[in-house]
Amino acid sequence: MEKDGIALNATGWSAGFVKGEWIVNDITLTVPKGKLVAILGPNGAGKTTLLKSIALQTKYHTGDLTIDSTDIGGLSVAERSKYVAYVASGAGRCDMTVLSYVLTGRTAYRSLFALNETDENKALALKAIESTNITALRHRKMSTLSDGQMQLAVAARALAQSPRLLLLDEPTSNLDLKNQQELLSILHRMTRQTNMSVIMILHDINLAAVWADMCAVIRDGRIVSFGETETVLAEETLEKAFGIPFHSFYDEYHHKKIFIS
Amino acid sequence: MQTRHTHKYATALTITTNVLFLLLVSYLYFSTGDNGLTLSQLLGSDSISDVQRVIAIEIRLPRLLAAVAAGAILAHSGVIMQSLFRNPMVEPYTMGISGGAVCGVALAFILGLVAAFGSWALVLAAAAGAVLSVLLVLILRRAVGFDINATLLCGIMISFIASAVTTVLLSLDTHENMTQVVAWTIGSFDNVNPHLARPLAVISLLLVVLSPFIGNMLNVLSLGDDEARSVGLDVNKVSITFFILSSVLSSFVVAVSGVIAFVGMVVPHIATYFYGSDRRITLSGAALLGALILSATDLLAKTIIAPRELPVGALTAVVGGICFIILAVRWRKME
Repeated sequence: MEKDGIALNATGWSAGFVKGEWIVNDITLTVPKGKLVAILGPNGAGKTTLLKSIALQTKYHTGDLTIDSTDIGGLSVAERSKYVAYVASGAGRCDMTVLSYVLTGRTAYRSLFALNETDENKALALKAIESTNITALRHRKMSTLSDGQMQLAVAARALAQSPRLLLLDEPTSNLDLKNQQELLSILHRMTRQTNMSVIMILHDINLAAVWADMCAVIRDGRIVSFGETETVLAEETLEKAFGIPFHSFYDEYHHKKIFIS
Repeated sequence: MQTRHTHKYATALTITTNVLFLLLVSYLYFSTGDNGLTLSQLLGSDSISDVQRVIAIEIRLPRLLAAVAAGAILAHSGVIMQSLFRNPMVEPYTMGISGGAVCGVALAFILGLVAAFGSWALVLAAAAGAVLSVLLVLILRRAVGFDINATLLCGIMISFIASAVTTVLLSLDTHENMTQVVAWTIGSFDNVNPHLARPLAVISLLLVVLSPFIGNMLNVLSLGDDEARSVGLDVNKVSITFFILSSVLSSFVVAVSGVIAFVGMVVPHIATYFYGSDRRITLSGAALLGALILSATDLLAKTIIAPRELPVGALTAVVGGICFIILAVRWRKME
């Protein structure tokens, strides 16, 4: 993977056709490599549809979309998974062990009929588990993990898959404050270390303010504002998207603008 | 916390126990009933009368092979279908596959295909009926928006319609054909065709040996379609291939023995209990367990009211039907 470059380029992108209207309507979005991007917006704005459509997991979509300068529409499902991974909210509920679950991230990198994992895949999975600090949990069943631990395992699986672009639907929902911070710091570090870009849907504007490099604010399937977090997050933008007044103050510890509604 | 090694030993122990019980049931097949063989006769140290030999080789062996193979294949199909559709009640019978196969069998008799081409025409006709059911299920599944509960209901309805169509077809035809085909609607291993029982046994053995190699795909599929696709599994291709293959295999069972309901639904749950949820092991494990359970049930069916016998399909239908209701209640709670 080139160090610099564009992770995602979507032009005139529409997705999710319901009752004669596009849920995501004519969006244009450019995300450079190695960025942590937050998508913000009210319920029903089309955030999930946008995320799923970038992984081409929606039934209907139209427009131009490239990931790492590649039109993934022409790729096989296996090849596509090396470019983009979509993780739905609530992913990871299964009866596998953490290690087996993380190893499913290597599906595209081994024979479908293989009985055992290659040593390389095992090593990469263990490395991913280590970098999300869940080494001690690796033989536990996924179904016995707490929400926070499960989300870390999901992140490890995504890391093992090593796509160019990782799409996370509400990864911090159901997490307590400490787990939210831990997950976001791991995602932040992942983007820095691997040059992968992460686009995630967040509901907490201040988590975005503190951790995200870039933000996209969405309403009614269209982009209200997109760019560097400091530029995008402003009272007027948020008021326009959510329809309620916002106030901000300066957080001296993070050196960021923090919002309350 | 279990270590990897004790886990391996536990699996080996389960397999050994399973196979030992299967050998025991096999022995009982030959030793019970008129002209039964003693252990020393079976092992070849005592001589066997001609009558005993004919009964053992031409009646009891094919019956045993058919029961063992049918149990293995049905349980295997059950694990596959339950993994594909992520529902505990899915199996060849509840998805209407067995019903479609019986319809094919009835048509083969009526059109004179069996008389003209022999018993393999039966197998092909059953497979054709099963594939038709598969296509119907897939189309209806799309129509109901991939909702598995609605799909399951459609499958059960296909099963009812197929059985009604079979009855209509038969009432238009000769009495001989009717009595013959009615035997297929409730399965039994009495009078199985030895020429079909042997290949069926070979197939079931292959399933046990080869299944670990497809286990990983099913493990990934158990994550759900979206997640499986996201990690790079071509979900549509894989599920349709497995669905058709296991439906055709279970239609072979129908061609040999008739409809044996609910074995494919119940055994996977028992197999998961004993063999765990890793499909690389559970697929073969379920096949072994299905072989044991169905052959033991058949042994019961043929001895419990001797000299008469119960059709084994009726026994599994009663026990399995109750299990279906229990699962349906538990599944509602889980959802």
